[in-house]
Amino acid sequence: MLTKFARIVATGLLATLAVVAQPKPDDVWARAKSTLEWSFAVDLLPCNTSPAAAVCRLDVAPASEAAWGSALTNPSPVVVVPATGTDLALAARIAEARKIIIAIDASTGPLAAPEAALKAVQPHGVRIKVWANPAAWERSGVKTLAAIYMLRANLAGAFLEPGMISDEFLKEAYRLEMKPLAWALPARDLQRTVATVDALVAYHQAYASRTQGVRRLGGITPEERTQLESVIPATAPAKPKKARKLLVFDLNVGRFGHPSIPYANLAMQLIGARTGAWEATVSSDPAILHPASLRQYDAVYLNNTIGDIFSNAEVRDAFASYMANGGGLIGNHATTVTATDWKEFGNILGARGASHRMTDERVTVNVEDPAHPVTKAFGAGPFEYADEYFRFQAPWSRDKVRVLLSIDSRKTDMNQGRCYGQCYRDDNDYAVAWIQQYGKGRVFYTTLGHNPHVFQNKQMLEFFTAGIQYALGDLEADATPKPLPRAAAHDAILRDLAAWDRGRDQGPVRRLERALDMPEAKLVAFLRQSGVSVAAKEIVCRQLAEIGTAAAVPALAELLNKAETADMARYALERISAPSAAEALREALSTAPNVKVQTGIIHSLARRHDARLVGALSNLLDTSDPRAALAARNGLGMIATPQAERALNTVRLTPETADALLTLAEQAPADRAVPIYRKLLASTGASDVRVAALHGLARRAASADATPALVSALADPSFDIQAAAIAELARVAPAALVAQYPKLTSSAARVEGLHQLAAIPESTARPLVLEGAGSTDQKVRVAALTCLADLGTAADVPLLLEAAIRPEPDASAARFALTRLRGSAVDDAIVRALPSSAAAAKLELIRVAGERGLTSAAPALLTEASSADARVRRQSIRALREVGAPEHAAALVALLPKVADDDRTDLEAAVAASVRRSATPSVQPLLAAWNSATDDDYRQSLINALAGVGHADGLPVLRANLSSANADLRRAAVKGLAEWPSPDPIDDLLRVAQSAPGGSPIQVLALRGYVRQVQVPSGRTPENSAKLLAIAMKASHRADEKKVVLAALQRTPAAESLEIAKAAESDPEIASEARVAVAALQRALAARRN
Amino acid sequence: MIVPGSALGLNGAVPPSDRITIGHIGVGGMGTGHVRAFVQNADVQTVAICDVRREHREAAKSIVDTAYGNKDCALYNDFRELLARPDIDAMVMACPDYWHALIGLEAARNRKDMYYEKPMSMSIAENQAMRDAVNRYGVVFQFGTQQRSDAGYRFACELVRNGRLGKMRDIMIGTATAPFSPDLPEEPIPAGFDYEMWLGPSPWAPFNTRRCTRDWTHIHDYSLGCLSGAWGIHDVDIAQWALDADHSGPVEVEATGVFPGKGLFDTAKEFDAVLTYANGVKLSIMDMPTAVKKRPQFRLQWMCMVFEGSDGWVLVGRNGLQAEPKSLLREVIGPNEVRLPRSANHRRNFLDAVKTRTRPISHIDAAVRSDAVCHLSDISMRLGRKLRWSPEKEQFVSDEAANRQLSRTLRSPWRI
Repeated sequence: MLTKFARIVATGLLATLAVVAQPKPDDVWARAKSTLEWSFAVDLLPCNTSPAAAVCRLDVAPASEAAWGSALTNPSPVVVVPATGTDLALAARIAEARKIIIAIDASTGPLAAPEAALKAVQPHGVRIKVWANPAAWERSGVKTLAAIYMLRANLAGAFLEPGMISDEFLKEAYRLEMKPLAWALPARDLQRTVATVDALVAYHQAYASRTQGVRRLGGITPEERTQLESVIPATAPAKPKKARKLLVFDLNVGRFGHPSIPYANLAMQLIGARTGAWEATVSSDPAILHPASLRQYDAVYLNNTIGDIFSNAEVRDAFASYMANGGGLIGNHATTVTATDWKEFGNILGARGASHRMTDERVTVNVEDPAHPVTKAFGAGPFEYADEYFRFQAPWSRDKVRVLLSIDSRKTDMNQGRCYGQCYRDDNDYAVAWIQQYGKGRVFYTTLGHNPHVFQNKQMLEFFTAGIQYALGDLEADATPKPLPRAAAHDAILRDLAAWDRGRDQGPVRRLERALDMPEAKLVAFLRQSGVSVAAKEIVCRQLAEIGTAAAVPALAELLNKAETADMARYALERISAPSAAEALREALSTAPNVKVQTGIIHSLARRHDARLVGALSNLLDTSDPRAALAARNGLGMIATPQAERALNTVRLTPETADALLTLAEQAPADRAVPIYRKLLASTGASDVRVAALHGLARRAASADATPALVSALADPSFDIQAAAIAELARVAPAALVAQYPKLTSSAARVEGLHQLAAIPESTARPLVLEGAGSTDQKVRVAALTCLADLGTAADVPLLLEAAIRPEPDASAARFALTRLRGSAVDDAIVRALPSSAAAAKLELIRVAGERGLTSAAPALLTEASSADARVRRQSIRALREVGAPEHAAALVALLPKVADDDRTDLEAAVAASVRRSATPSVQPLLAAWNSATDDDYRQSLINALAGVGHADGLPVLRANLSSANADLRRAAVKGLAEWPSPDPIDDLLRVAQSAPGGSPIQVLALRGYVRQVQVPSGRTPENSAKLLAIAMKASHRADEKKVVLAALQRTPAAESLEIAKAAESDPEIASEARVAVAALQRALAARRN
Repeated sequence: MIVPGSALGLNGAVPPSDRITIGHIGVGGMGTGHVRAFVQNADVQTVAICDVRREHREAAKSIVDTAYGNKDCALYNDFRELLARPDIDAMVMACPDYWHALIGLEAARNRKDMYYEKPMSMSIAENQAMRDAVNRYGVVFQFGTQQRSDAGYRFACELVRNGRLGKMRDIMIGTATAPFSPDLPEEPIPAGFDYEMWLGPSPWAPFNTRRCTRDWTHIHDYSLGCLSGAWGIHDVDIAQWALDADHSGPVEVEATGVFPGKGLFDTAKEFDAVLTYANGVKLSIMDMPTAVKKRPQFRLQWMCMVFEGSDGWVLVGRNGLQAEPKSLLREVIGPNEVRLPRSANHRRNFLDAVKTRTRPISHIDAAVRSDAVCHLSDISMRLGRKLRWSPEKEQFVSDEAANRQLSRTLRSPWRI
């Protein structure tokens, strides 16, 4: 047995290795190498293998020159050696002589800390470097991106474990232009890494042009430098209290950085030098933010920084206390998205968020306080300026920071171009620059500075100079927040709303709705203001509907007199509880401009149950306009006073009047409602009204009072009335229904009666139902059998069994009842009756046992599964699929070698279901059987059953059979793996899909299974899934499979999916599916961008 | 009681006198689907179509005419004329949300049974008026929440009802997400489209094709958006079913929402409404992106709901179930446990109820209570605060401003 398992495991391993060799990533490597100057190796293999990999390892460092020589007969360009026991001086000589890189493995041991590794290699020249393992760093809490930054010049490469930090790590290495580097990638997850590298190459190709700005760091052209020097301020606004040191820091973690960064760096250095206001140090080394070094700077300018620039929590805390204790911070533009998972940094800076529109959004900027020293360069303003403006989120608030510059949203088109993120604030307040105090520290921030031109502009540089001098502590400036006066804010909201119209931006409306402290008086005044759009008035009326009081009534009443504005006034007046609101509506009734408005007013008053309206409505009952007459009837019904009732009783009983009376009765107390129902029931009107009256009577009258009327309604000539009476009797007087049932004459009424009797709990109706079950009237009989589902007991099992073997429709009704009967006694009766029943009845019992999920029937069913009667065998096996428990698995497996071919599939499913029914499924019975099975049909069944269970323990058997000599077993294995519930066999399937003859049934099965498993939810990104589907597309030989791949791509929103789908459009066989996929993907990708 | 159609002799040929005569009101995308489906039933005779768009009603008529091989199906622009026909037994209504209650009330007054598309209406007062009218006239009412006729959702509810998840804690819903809010300029009204009738009880607004086709469902004059009519009500209704709350509801609601600042839409784009039931269970209704942030399970299926109890969770959506522990999915609910009514087809369930005068699976009480959950969420979101609700009185507890939101005033001359 052990040998056998060893064989299976070994085969599985070989299969895995074969698969990783399959998706030749050569083209990806080639592209990556030419673009990024990196080399790649699959796994970190021992040196001296042939051919030499890009990087290899030595498990023990050679101790002498000779030992090095024999260890490196076929050396790779990069050789990784252990951190302990390596003589680095010797290694450096070897490396120099052979022109190779020797890298010390810093993934474990004493050099696991990047600082220690750096210290160790630095003295030994450029050929001794560090070999990194980012996953190990992450596990031990080292911040990988900070580490790569520290090591960048001394890094030879890294072992990348996909799924950890590798994507970011690769990107950062790329951003830092680190080359040459060698990467080793684990074979077991090669596809993922190939995908990452490929994405990076694509990234490079797409962004190469954009990165030039940053990459020209220090490479600003001479012309630009001359221009910049010409706009540098000659003097600073304040005289420095002492020599100031300014740290200008521009690290972008995982990003390319804004194009303006080098210009700002240079400008700050030049300003400091020319004005003597500070001495600037430019850096992007995160170590400089460590407390010991930070301390020497009077202020830090985070120049468009992005990402987590602080190496760890201590550095963060130290920065916060540096600020609280009097440090200075200057930020511009992207600084708001620095260290985004550190909440306090948002508080230090005063804002978060980077939602924006175009990079050249043209904006009118208000200078909030012309006398403020920081904005002196702009005079009194306002001024127009184009740049990329951020819309800030919490914690930003005008109440917390001193706003210096802001967007004038009335003079600015706030909808220019596309919005990236949330471009609207409820308060319509968009700051451009501010200062604030953080403890004893000072902060200056502006959203400006996306574009280089900001730092080529004299006014802007003067502004920055003043802001920096404030942060340094040299320029005295008032940082007290200036909240907008609420009155002014309210006026601004209403001013924006006045011109609003339907179909326009909802912004002004939202702002009014959000202004919870808007005084009612302002809204009332707004209604009377001239130059206000009708739509705006309607919005204000809706607000008054929420908060309005008697104070709003006169202004609202004025609106009632015009058809155009009458409805909006009703919104509010209908809901203002003050009597004056009702009065205003009543008065307007006679002066309403038309009948439409008049009926609207009636509805509003009716909703208020306004009793004082009855007189006016009574006068309208016989008015010539049918709309007003109907409204009057309905209104009287809603008001429901005795006076209203009297008025309605004076008019002819039309269906409309009857409806009003029914409404009235529902509102009125029972002693008034019941006579109304009686009157309507006795009327000669339409049966609709009488049915409604009957329901009302049954609901509102005391049971004893309603029952005689309901009983006499059973004899009504209208079946509608009979049916309603039966239903109501069942509810209010079930005993009466039981007593009256024998008197029902028509078949329809009896059927109706049986359906209602079934709903009576603890029913005395059982004898009636049993009698019905023997009726010669088919409809009655079927209804009665159906009712036994609810009323039947274990005693009725024989009766139902007998009916179940009769022809339809009896059979269906009886089966329905047998399946639904409640009680464990029923279960027992079924199990007991099973062995001794005749074949037809036995078949029914077996079916019912299955449908009821009777595990207690399993032993009997196992016996019947070997019955001589083929139908009984089959039905039993099917039922066992529903009831088989884990303890029956072995017995079911034992049936497999004997089963008839027709029943084989069902039995395999029964085996699988019984195993799966455990909370901790075990496939041991199946594996045990496998080891002794010799018959190929039996083995095929076992494979199918293992596949049906889908437990990992069964996987080796299926994998081993991929190479079985028997084609049926091979096929069963592929089929099982294709349907496997987890994506574990995805690589096996791909191998088959790529190696089996194209279009053969096995290849098609494998390919479809592979595509399905790619789509099983996992942590994989859509981009990476698209890569896997690209492989599937290449392996598809027939249009059918290509369509399956297209369908999968359609659900995988990635740029590559779109590319593949677009390419498929040129294949006429699949063009229409491809077009559908292209359209869907474009939609999905656009939605994702939004 | 739910009776199988076959037991009623509903298979096979049905004499014309025994057929249910049906009129369809609203035959856009969804309504046309209903026309196609109902006309297939041997015991149905489709006799009338109503829509305010000529091309829609004519297209629907051609489906009916083709099925019957005649030209008998009548066309209407005004639903009141269709409902006044005494020879029509039932209506199938699939209009924009703000029309639902008005048409439903008119149908009840004319004693029509109704297959009534979700949601219920634009306010709790309208819901109550509908419930009164359905009870008053004893008409059969089926709400268009067809997930109750889906075995997967029913199974999830039965797991909850029978305590298979242990003590229930949270029910979370990830519903649809509104698209980008567009700017829509006024356009000329196309010929054959009765725009005044389309607007009906809602405030006047300039015509635009998208306002009247795909986009009305994100405009608060016409709908509560993704929270309710544009999907949410489906899952809310299942949550109510699982909680056995067809005659009650939550006691507290706290909802937050982010509304588009510009463009035509004014229903929340992102939202998280948390409703607490008297037994402590919390129901959260969220748009999908918000849901994904709240629970990782939402990555498993786009638009779905998750039931979470002390002993496990089960996720259910239109694409099936998932659970932890996985063995939950193999649980068998026996005949001696709480078993919910079985319905395999929502329309068939309605037709069977019409014939037996019984309550369909999505009956009026369930509909009103489920719909109320969406309204409570919308009101809390718009008022921006937590509200207490009395399911018995169907009112907010001592909160006048909130109670003023329980009804909407309709444009004259429309009324509820």
